[in-house]
Amino acid sequence: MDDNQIIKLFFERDEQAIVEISQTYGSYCHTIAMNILNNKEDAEECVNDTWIKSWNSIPPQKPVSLKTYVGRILRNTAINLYHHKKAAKRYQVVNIMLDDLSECISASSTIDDIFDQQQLSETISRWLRSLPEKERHIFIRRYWYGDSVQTLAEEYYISANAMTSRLKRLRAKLRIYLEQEGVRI
Amino acid sequence: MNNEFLYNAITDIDDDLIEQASKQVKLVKKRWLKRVVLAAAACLAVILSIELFTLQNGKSSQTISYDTYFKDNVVDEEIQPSYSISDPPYDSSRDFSEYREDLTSNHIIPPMEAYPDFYAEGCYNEDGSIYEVILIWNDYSDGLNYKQIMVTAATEENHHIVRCPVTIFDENGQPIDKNVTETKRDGTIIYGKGLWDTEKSLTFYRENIGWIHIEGSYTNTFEDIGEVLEWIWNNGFDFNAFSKENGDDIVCVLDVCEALASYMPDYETLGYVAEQERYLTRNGVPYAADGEFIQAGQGSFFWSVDVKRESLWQEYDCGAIEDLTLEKVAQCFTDDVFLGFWKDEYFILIWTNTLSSEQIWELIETVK
Repeated sequence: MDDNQIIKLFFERDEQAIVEISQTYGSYCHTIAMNILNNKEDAEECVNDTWIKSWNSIPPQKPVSLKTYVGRILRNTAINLYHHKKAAKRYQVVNIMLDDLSECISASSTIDDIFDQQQLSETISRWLRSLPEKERHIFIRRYWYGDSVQTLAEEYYISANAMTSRLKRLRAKLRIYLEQEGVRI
Repeated sequence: MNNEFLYNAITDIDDDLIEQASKQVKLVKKRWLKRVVLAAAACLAVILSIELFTLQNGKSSQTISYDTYFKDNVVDEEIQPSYSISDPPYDSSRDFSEYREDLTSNHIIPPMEAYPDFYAEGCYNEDGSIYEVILIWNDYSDGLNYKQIMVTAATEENHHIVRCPVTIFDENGQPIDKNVTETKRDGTIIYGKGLWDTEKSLTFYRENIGWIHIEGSYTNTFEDIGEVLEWIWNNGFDFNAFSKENGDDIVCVLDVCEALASYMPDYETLGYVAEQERYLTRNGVPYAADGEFIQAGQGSFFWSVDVKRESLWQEYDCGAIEDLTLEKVAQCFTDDVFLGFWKDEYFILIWTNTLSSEQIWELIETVK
């Protein structure tokens, strides 16, 4: 079933929509959830929450790409789950990812209401488009899909150290770009 | 938290960027499968067409501009080697990174004066014969847009050296954009891959040299790669210089190595635990160490000790440990990520996302 047909089911409030969306994007969402949370039960919970949130938000939302729409819900759900359960001191993967991202922000930066999250997303998209294709994909694979450094290193046939160094450079580049764009976050 | 603000902003990047990155993975895997099936046919077709070209045109010109090696390429499609890094196709390796001066003065490797950092490794089959030799030169002077040239030399084709040009096929199996240019020079076919703004490579086999694969980063020009090819073309490649007995045996040990213990921080006293800690020996002599250390609720840091300092870290070099003070550390630690200093002949680099300059100073004091 394609995206339009699944969205039609959501709009008709047909519960078959949940069955269809989980059949089409279940494996995709489960992979991202496992990448980020690294825990089978939590990943399962995160994916189920994603279907419920999709049910509650479509309609009124009518996503252009259902795949990226559920992916976004899943990432938001994962970070919320991280907050909820981090006292249990799991989630090394999220910790590492957030630590990594802190490199993209200078220590002196402060939250500035003028630069909202949507503007920041647009700025990051512009920066990603300015990168060579391979660098762009590596960044998105790591920080959107949550793929591990080891996985990326194996897929791109370089050592894990070289991939770590490549990611480090990308973060530094983003940091410089954000500063040049006057981003205060 | 700012990093979560960034995480959420990355969540909302444009749809097409997310989709393309996802498709890229499938594409790489899919193309690789297709290549396995179609490689033999493509090889045969190319070899036949080149032979025909030679028959029709006689001997080709010997002087070729470097751009010519890449002239037919319209896409940047990589040929992925077929092995996992956890299971390398060779038996053992030896390090030659310390012999740059000797190798250069004996005309075994090109001078590459614009590249301050050098790494060389010989990889060997079970019987001790050479599987491949890898030479890497890095130039970090342009900051983030660093240049890297890598030469792989081997007597046979291997996972790094893939001769066969690959045409990209669409879903119906029809050939589309070309990613390899074949150029004939002195009877040898040179395979050029890449575009001016992507990673690029030249590959060839000559009977008196062997297989050579020269790779450059996207910041390298066609000329950079072409000049290396020219040097090897004229000077050849001396595999004997990289025999197993000539190289340094690098061994990684996980136990505390007494010789370098005084260069590693006393992290336990300060409440950190070691996530990993390892020591490297060269021909049995300790020469480098590194480790990652964590303190719950406080943060973590990476600490490395090495007898040399890559030019990449020059801007973070804060000088000799004897001259360090808390104030100087705070001044040097302006980017909040890296700080380097010297103790005796060792360069120590600290890498952290979370520690303050005061906490770093505490760590430095334990090795002062």
